[in-house]
Amino acid sequence: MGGGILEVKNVTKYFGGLKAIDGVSFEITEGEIYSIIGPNGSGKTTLFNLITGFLPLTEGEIFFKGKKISGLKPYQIARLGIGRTFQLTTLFMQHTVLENLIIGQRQTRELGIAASIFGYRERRQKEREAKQRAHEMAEFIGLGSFKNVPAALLPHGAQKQLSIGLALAGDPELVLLDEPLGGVDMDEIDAIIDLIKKIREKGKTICLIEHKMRVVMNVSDRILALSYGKKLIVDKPEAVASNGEVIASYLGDQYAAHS
Amino acid sequence: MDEGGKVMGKKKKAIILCILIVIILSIPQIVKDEYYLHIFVMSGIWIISALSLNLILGYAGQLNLAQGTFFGIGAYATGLLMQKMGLSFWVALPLGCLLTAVIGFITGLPTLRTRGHYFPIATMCLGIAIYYVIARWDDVTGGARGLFGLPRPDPINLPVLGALSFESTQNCYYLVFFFVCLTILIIYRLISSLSGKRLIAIRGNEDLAQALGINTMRDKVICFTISTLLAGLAGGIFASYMGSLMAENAHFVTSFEILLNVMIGGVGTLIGPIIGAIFLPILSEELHFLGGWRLVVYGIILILTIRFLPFGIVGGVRILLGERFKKEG
Amino acid sequence: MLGSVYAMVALGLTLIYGILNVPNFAHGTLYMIGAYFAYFAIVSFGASYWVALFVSMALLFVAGILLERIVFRPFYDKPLINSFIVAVGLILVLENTALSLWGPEFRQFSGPSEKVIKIMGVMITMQRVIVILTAAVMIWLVHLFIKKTRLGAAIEATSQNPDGALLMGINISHMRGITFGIGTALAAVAAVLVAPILLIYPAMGHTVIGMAFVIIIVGGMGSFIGAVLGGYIIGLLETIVTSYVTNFFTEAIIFGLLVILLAVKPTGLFGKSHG
Repeated sequence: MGGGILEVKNVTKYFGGLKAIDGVSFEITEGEIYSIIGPNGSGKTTLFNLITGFLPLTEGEIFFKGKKISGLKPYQIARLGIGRTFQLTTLFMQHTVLENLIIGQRQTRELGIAASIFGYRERRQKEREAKQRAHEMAEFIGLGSFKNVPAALLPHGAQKQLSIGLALAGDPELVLLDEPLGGVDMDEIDAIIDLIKKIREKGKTICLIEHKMRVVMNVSDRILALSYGKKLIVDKPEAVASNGEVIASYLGDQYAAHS
Repeated sequence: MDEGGKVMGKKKKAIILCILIVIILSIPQIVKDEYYLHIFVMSGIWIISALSLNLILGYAGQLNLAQGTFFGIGAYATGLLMQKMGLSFWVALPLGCLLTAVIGFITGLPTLRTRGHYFPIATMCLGIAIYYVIARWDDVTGGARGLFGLPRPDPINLPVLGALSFESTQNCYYLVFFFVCLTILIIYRLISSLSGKRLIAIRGNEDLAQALGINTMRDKVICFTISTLLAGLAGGIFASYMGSLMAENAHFVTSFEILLNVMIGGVGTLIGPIIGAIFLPILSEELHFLGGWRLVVYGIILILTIRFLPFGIVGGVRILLGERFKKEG
Repeated sequence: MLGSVYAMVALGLTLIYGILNVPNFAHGTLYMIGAYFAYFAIVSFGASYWVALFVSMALLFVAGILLERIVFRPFYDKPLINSFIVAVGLILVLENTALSLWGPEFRQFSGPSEKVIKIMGVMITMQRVIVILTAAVMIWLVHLFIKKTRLGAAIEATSQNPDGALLMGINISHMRGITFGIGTALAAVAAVLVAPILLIYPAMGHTVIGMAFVIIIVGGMGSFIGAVLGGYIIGLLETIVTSYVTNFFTEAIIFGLLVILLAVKPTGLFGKSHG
């Protein structure tokens, strides 16, 4: 077992007869920003779903902080310290920013039902703590002035910020961000990039799926390139950017010769 | 406060609540007509059932089409415990609720593992199955004939006021009112807490809730169990008050009526089911002259409501109020 | 015999589900209406059995199209629960209209032939044979329709991939309506076939709808084969349990098995995982 915070070992995933992920292995080091790139359909989101327990593995194992998490339920994996966003903006649309963040807090999931009905002190205390942390999180992600706005009414970029806030709500050590810049305007991109950097400064490890190459190159420590569910290469941004196979997978073989 | 959007301040709410309670308590002193008192008692029972369904439907987002069946289980359990085992109502009722909750728990476990479409279907089938058990188990449940001669609750001996008997409709009114308050209290405590927020999260998006570390299965099962327990409570009270039971009481017609009460009153709110459970039985009485057509009218009302006012009466009122508030800024 | 009836009803239901993604709870009630239409065709208009069957089928086909358009269509983009509740409302309306108009008494009409024949040493009424054969023919026809005709292919495309079908120029609203009509018509045929054997009454849809749902859940919602096979299997199961074990708890046992199955495999045996 390596020293990485996340270790994916020989993972394969079949959907019926379709091989979506083919024997992929990699490790993410604690504290780094690790990006996964690849053309559409190469299996990036599937990997996220496998890691977070939303899909069962066909073969292979996944370890988080040395503990095997493949086979656990999503909520168990989340509690162990992995937070995520979803490719399609997934929020509690009818709720305000603050309410969304409250739901994600550790205190919210810890309060037992018996304590909710019959208890008094623990109930109030947890509620207070959750609300306070939600306020802090709202400020942290840059939505301090939007606290009472229903998620459905937020501009797209702000919604992405909120989903990142949700991913962080439980204070995870590893954060999986699935296309946090998807569909985001030019003026909103910097806000999100700053947020990602702030997250790293807090000591968290980030794994990023993103298509906007300029951002990926600037922000990542290492990049994993996928194609048709197979791992092509893992390396520093410059090396990946000049790798013939990677370019070919995006653009087709005729362009590879010109790299 | 950070809770914008509250319509009234806390103090105002408390005052209104007190006034309401005084009014409700004094009704039997003012209205002496047995017929109306009876309707009020029945409304109370329907309120408890509607609130119980609203818990699992309006808050956890799961459509239980067998709520009426659990009502029936509670009714038969309490009734049988009183009749066949000679237990007093005060013992039979909690036991009946417990039994209903246990059955709810056992059936909840497999059915709540389903997602989306399957849960309502599974509960519908469950309801039909249990109905047939009740309707056919002649030895125990009296089959199609049902149970008769179930006693009212034993009198309670109060220190100053003497024995409080429940032969009169008036005193049953107070009894039901007590249980209604109890139910409201339990539900309010649950949904206003962080646990309530979890339930709403599950209703909103179960996958997202899971990704946030919420053990959705456990919350759903507990919520379902509480919901069936309360349905059983309503059933048990019904059994003793009416004195007789038929298999029809566990039929999915009952489930539909409870569903109607919730949807037309306003699903997902605390007052909604209460309003629905008061309004509809009254409407039902007024429409009695229609005979069988009454249920047809119900069906049409249901379809129209869900089409144009998906949040029921409460939703409609909120829209009216909300627009006014928006203008005030 | 029962299996044939179940298979047809389940098939109708699964076709509707496959394309609408909404379980039509009112299917059993429409089945009941089909039986009543045929009854009145025979009793009030003196039609022959087969004419009545055809009339009922045609009427319910039209009814299906209308219902899809008026009742279900507004809810496609709304939360699922709303569609369920609308279906429940529909049941209330239809069943109680039937109850009020026609009363709760049992009615019956006879099939085209009262003969009793002997197959392999067992006495069996002609009606049962008719049921089995007609059902098989109908199922076969529907199968051919879907697999061999262009309209059928369009329906299959719409149910598998509505967006793709739209891009191909298929009018998915029409497809939905037609499918609903076919599904309902199938239910009508099933009802008319079985009416001479079992009685007609307003609540006759109840057990059938329950069983139909069991079948399509077991067979997989949206699966043609699942519905047909499931129908025959469940029909057989019910007959066996009723005859050899006990009459009392037949439904309870079957539904209980369903609940267990769901717990283990929430998408049924052959199912597409919708929702």
